[in-house]
Amino acid sequence: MTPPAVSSSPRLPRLASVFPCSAGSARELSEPPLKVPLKPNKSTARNVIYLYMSGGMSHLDTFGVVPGADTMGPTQVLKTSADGVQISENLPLTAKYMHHGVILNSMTSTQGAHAQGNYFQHTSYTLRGATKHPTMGAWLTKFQGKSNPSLPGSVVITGDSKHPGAGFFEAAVAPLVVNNPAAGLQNSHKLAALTEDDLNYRISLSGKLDTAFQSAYEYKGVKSYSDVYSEAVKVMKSDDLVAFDITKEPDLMHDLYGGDSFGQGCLLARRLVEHGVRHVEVSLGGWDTHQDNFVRVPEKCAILDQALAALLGDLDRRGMLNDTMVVLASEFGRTPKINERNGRDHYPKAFTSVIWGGGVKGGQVYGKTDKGIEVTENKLTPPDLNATIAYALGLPLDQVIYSSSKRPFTVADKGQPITSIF
Amino acid sequence: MKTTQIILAALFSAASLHAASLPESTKIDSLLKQEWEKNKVTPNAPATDTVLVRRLYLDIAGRIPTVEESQEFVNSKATDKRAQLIDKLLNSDGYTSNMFNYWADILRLTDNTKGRTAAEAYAEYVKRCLKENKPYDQFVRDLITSEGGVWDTGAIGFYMRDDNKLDHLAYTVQVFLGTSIVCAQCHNHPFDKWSQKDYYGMAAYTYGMDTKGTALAETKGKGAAGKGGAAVKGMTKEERRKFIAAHQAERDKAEEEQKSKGITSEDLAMVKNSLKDIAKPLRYTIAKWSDNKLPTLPSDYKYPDAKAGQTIQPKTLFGHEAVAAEGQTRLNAFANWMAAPDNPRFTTVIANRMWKKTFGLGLIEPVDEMTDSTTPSNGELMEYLNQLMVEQKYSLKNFQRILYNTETYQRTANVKEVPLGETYHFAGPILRRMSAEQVWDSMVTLAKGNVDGETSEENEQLHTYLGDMKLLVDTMQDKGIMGLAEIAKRSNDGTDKTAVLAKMDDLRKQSLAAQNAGDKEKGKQLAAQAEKLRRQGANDLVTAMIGDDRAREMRQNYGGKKGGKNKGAEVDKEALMALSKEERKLAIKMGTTLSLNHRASEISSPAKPGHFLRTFGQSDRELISNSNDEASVPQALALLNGPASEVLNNPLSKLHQALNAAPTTDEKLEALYLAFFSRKPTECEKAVIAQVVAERGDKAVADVTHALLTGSQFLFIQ
Repeated sequence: MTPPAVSSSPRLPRLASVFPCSAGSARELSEPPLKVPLKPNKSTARNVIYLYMSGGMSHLDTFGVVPGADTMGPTQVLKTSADGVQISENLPLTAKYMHHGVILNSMTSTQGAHAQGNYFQHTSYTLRGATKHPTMGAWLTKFQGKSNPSLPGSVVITGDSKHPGAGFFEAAVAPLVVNNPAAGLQNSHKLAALTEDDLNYRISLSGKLDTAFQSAYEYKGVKSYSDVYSEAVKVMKSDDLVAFDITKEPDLMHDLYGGDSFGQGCLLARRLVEHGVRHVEVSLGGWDTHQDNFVRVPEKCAILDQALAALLGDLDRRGMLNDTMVVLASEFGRTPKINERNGRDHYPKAFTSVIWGGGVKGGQVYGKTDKGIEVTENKLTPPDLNATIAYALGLPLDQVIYSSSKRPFTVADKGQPITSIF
Repeated sequence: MKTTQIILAALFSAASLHAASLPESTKIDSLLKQEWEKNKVTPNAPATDTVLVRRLYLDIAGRIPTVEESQEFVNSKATDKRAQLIDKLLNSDGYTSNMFNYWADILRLTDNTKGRTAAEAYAEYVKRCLKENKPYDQFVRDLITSEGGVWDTGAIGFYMRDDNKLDHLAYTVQVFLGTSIVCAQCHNHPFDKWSQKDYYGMAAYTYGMDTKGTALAETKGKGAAGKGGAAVKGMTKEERRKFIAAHQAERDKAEEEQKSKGITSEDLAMVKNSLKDIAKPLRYTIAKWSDNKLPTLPSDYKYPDAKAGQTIQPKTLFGHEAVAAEGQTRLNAFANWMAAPDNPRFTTVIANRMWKKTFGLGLIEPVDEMTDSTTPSNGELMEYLNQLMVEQKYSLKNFQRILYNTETYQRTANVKEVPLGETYHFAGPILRRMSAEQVWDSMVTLAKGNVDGETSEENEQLHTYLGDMKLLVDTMQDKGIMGLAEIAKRSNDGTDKTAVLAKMDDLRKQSLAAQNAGDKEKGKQLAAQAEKLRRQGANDLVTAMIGDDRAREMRQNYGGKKGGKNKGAEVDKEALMALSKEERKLAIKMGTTLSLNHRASEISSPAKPGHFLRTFGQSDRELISNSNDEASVPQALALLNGPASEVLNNPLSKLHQALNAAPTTDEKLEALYLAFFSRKPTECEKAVIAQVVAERGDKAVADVTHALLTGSQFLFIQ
């Protein structure tokens, strides 16, 4: 604890002279990213906003439409702002931004169960054995460090508790998980019952009462507690803390993104990216439409469409879409065959992802399927999608990092980036 | 510098060693003494009673002692009071709770999984084994040989934990044999001697355990169509032909039975439909063993010692072969081979784990990556601990009792960290940060006192639910699908079920048509109507099978356990009545912010991300021993700005009441130090505090409380 830095009470220095506290400068919280300087390829994107559709989003009823095919069921298609690019009628607002987007129509995966598919999509590795693999946000921080030292390197906004996070990487590069976007960063404001002076007094006092213990034990773990309190105070006083506070956004903005948790999460994502958080994931659940697909998908799409269109428009207006890549992904698609309950079941064989901005040439469709059943052109796997994101961020795709069990891993596990869409 | 010396002297004021003279403890001490002499190490000074009482409570019961508890010990004149306290704590419910957290991290217990019922039954099972002090070797054998329904034993949770049985085997070998073979799942191990074929040989022992089935598949007469898919997979052509032929005969018989009972195919469709609806709670509830199922090498197998696709016979990694005796499955043989004194690693792993748990560092590090070249930091001691574990018949309680009664454990914690890779000669235990659960449980102790008694290895709600489930499954097995159709007919309250079924189909078709025509709203309404009819049909059947009350419970599905689970803050009504109106208002307001009412082992486990426990490093239970004790900014923020300090200052908290009862400020502050650190403040601390009192007056007590909570000292086990 280093009270001098935070003390505001004029009377405290007298105490300090009686009980000298170990003078400790606040150490860097995170370890330096990597010792070896890397030569990354030229990046096209600085930030990524990764929208994860949890449960398996039906490709045919969203972005992987096949106009006129019997597999479409009752879903109709719409023309979009890009010539020759059509998407589902469930996404009328997003249709206006397809000139910025590339539909990746030929995704295919080997993982047909939720947990496995989700893990594969997030890490490029299959869920097996005793290794937990890092996700893109953690790779980014590991390779390139934080862009804003007072904010986390990456953030995940989700109600789900199974995000693989930093995998085997150290905790310092782990994405910060925010469960409720409206609540912002947990515990970052002082208790209402305390005045600023009260809190400062207590922090300073805490340092003094801790001195004996701090100096008695020479342990890294002991010292780091005095460091994290200094860091915590910095965070509290940081101007960037407002990045987490979406109440600072005008009502109009809230209305634009939508009042549901996903819309608010997208709004928070934009604020975080503005303040230097470079990878933000927002998840939207409920896509597991085994029954009543044609009722439930339009409901989900309404939420997605409003938030996504708001996000794309907002980024575009702020001039941020060029270097911010917005990615839409899901663990798998859904069966082209409609089941007896008007539902669609899990279908990893062919599905769709979309990328907007971040340096891609918009208005394209990449890859083809036969009525959403089989990929017939330009097959893409989840590692390929992740390699494309990593490529855009300028991450070295072939740089090997060893887990603590000394096994070698790379970002995107040898997936091939689709360089032709940039 | 001088101040530091004074402080050190205050912290480590003279104490003498008076460990009980258990002969085994003395033997350990003498082995360590040889080591010290050989390496010219001076052992640490004996720890004082105040240091020791806090350490023993944290290490054994998983929490700090209350003021009453620590004072009772410190003031006791009994010469064997340390041995007495160790015994008392080992027999407390706090021990069960603490050990549960320890094993939950190693075994990756989680209720954040597909089979929630199985997960909770497993957690309860582990707690019960710890409370009973089931010998560790028996515990491991019971886990490995567990099978049946979740209503039979919670131990099947061991297998239910992992879908992939190849992965599960790697975890099993790592946890119980301290050997990492996971690399060899896909290729020969690059740093150890294990080949991919070795891996499959080991996996062959447990490969026959199927956890993907559902109790529904057990329904008689469900026919080949029902379970054929899974069953046929992995069969040879010949077996498949036989299987299908047998089922054809079954099907013919079924048709005859159906005719004779006047059951129409619509009746059967209705029953099947209904069963689908209750299938969800019945999924992931059965582990089924088949002795003839063996793994085959993957299609990309690339070594000359075997061929891709080849079936692999069980073969042990080390030690003798595991041969099944007459009437035993190979699973029994595997369990007996593993959990035996003559297994080269089984005993060492658990003895070393317990040593590390007690002293903070293993004689072998890491504890679960042993290879042939692994040498313990003190070979003679390791050998003795192995012998001791066998002598104590794998009683972890007895084993720990011996360790806690050593003079070495009762010395002060090492003031210096042991650098990575350096040999430590155990001059005393290592200073450790509390585990997340210990931090939480200590805060609960400050707020509520001793709540160990609520540690429950009996989950009544779960048992009621499992009972209902068993009745349902038994009824299904007993009656078969024809019988169920009869029940369904009998339960018919006059409505024509066939007509209902037809109506449901019709509604679905209309819904699709409406959507095709572009009328979304109408489509949605019709779909909802169809769904309602379907649910109703399922409900009627379940009610007819197991009665109204039980059916209602089943329909609601299993909601989760007892106690603090998912409960908001609870307010003690009696305590509330004793307060003034103002205090009551404050208490209610504050009591709703952070629920420091139940021990970590009694609430959702693992807690959700963002929860206090996770912030302090509770494992997500995705990997073996995935908890961590690193400091982080969110931890600092949680203690600075989170509700913890307010909860402790809440009029209902035990700490607040104790402070209130102390008449003078000095006594209040002394009470505070006793509560946090089981000791009185030192002279230096008193001087600081005196100044705080002078400066802050009424605010002083709350200031000091919050300051102690946010200091590092509270979080460490000295």
